[in-house]
Amino acid sequence: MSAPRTVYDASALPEVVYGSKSLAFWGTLGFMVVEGTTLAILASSYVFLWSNFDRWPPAGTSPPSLLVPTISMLFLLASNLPARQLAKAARAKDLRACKRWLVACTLCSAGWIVLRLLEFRSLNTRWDDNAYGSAVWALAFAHFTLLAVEMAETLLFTLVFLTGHAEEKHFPDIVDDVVYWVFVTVVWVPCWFLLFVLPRLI
Amino acid sequence: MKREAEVPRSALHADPAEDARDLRRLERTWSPERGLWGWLTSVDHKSIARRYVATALVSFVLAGINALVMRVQLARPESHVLGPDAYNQYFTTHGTAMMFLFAVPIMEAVGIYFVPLMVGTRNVAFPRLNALGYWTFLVATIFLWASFYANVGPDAGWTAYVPLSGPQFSPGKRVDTWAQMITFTEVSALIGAVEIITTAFKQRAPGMSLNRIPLFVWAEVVTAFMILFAMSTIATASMMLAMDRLIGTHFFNPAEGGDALLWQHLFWFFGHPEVYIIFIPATGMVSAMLPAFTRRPVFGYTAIVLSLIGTGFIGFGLWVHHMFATAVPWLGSSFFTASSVMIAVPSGIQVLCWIATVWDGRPRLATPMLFILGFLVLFVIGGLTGVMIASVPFDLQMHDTFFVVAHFHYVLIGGAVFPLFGAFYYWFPKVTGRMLGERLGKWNFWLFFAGMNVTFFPMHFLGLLGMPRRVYTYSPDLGWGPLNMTATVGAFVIALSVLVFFANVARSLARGAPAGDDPWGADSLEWATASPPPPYNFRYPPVVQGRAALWSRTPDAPVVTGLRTDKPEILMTTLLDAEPESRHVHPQPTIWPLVTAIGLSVLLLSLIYTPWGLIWGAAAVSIGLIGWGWPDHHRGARLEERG
Repeated sequence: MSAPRTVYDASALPEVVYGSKSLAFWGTLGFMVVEGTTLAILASSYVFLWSNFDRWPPAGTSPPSLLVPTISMLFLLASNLPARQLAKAARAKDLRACKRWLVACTLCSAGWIVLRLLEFRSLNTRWDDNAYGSAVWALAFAHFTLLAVEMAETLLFTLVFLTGHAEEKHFPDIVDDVVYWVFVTVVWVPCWFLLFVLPRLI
Repeated sequence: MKREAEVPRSALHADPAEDARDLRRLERTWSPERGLWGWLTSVDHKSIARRYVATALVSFVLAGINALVMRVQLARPESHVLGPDAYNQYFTTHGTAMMFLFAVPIMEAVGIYFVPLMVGTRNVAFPRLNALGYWTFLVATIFLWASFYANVGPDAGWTAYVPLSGPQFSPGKRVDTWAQMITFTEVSALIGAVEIITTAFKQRAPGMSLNRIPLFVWAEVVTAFMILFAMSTIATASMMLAMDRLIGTHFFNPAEGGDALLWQHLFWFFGHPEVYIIFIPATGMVSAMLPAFTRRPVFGYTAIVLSLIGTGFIGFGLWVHHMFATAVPWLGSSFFTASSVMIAVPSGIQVLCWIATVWDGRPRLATPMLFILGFLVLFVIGGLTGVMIASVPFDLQMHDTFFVVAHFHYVLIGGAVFPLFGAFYYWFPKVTGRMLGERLGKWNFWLFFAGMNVTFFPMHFLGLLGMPRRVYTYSPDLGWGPLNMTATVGAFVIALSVLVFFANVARSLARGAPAGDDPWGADSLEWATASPPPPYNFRYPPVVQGRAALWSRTPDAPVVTGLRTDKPEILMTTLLDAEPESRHVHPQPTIWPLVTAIGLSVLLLSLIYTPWGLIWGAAAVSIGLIGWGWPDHHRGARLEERG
């Protein structure tokens, strides 16, 4: 075999890329599939167990309150507005705007956690009351862990940026973080419908 | 910060001194640190995959010893080698270890080693995550075996059916051991799946468009997608079981509206795809090896790829055939019978494509090829008995008998372990630089093939005679003694063949024939680099010119240059056509994945004893993740330093 020949010089290719061009995007997508499957399995179990009961919630168990869970769900959706601004700032590589919106998003995610803790009290059942209580708590708590993870990730980015440790590679990472943000907030809507609305309709 | 012109980049040098300097810099950039610290912090996919394989083989041997002890117990009626309690732990740990600690991880590990080499890149997509996957897997392995030898091994079967595994019938911590071990291994499997998908999608060598991806890589990608859905399900289900046992939830407790069948649905929604998660990579290995031993490309590339994807989809649609003996509606049973028979179609297509390849090729009966031929025979037998028990009336007779034990060992040993052993012989030269001995290899094959049939074929008859599985002994007047004794003799023949294999490995590592880059004259990219491959895999990322990358390569071996040599840079390409798209700087070696795995261990192990483990464990994991996520800057990388 003769000496190798260059057919492509990669030196001009960019080092920082966004969206589906970046590796982190695919990693985020993979973990969204894993976590989405987990929620789907818990939701399916909730529906499966429903078939064992004549009344759902079972006799003697109050239905969950609607007010706090609905406010919480709407707040989750509304938090996409600052997250969107954060993604725009990251795409524009605007360091100051990123810092501003990272702080806003961290505060929003802290708000999620507080509201979800209040929401647990509105479930009106305990996880060890009966299978209904177990199914409701499992779904709500599983989603709570996703919110906690997203809050922790956003907080870490905020600290990195505020302490002057940000690098150019963090901009696409922030955009991927916002993709995950959209996932954890939007995925709760069908869960909210299943836990709080559907039992009232049927 | 260096100016662009000062940045060292790979190039083709006419001057040998300059060329050597360039190569040294590349080696420095990609080589792990030396000593124990280097071992603990390594993020090289080859090093991590080797550890995975070694750890999985330890479980293979230990679980095999469990099997031998069980066979000694069953060789004669009313034996007293094991009591019923010990027997329960022996068969549960055997099944659990073989499935979760051997078969799935070793198939993924071979992918972690070879997918990057086969697609022509320098490492997997997320090397630190890959290290975390291995450390969690190692903890799971130590945890299960330590529990077993301390007499707290799981004892409710590898399927952990409720209510047997629930708090009422399994007090103590044995089932919790099982449930937490599952969570550990699934974390590891899910990480591996994300690695493999992303590496195959975004890091392929230029020219390796989707229709040129090696069949083994396709198989690993399909498997990885199945893992994403199946392993998430069992991890969720095992957490539900753990919660029923720890904090008094009632998912599976019928007294409070829970449902034992919910466990079976969740378990088998994972459990059946699990078989394909083990089998599909094995078919990929067969497709990877066949060209080298038949001297022609595999017949029906497109048909095989579509079969793999078809198997991936259909594999999720037949879990209920494990539950025909429960109160499943008849219409549902009929549907699942149909889908169970249907999955024979894509598998059949693959078998026909391989037979056509051998038929039209010039077969060379080296050891890997023997294992392929053995696989074809054994897998067809296992597949046929599978079609038989897909039928509800037959299944109701055979359910939970030794017929089923015979069936799934033919499928799993014949369909997966045989190709895996073939793959050991095929890829050992690439990994170690030395050939395995052919003479011992043939002994290994023939002993394994004979032992396998002597062990498991009689079990079909034992099942037909009504011998249930998972019984620790039987009465002499049932007449099962001679067939059981035969099966026990066969098990020792298999053990002998595995001993021969390890003797062959030891002999080759000491004084095996040097392999060279491409001892088999094979067609895929892993053979285009040295054996064993250097830390950077390829000096220059190759450019692929055809489906059989090496056989279609023109003599001037086109390559990509221009990647930095002072940073661990890799080339990223587009999803469909693998056009060069960007350069990506890979993470450096680090201790944080190990620290995170230790935190995760605190979380999962303490959850066996107290729900507060969630809080302590979350704190422990956070320490690891903060250290991991905090930037370790290259000089001049900080934005505010640069203004």
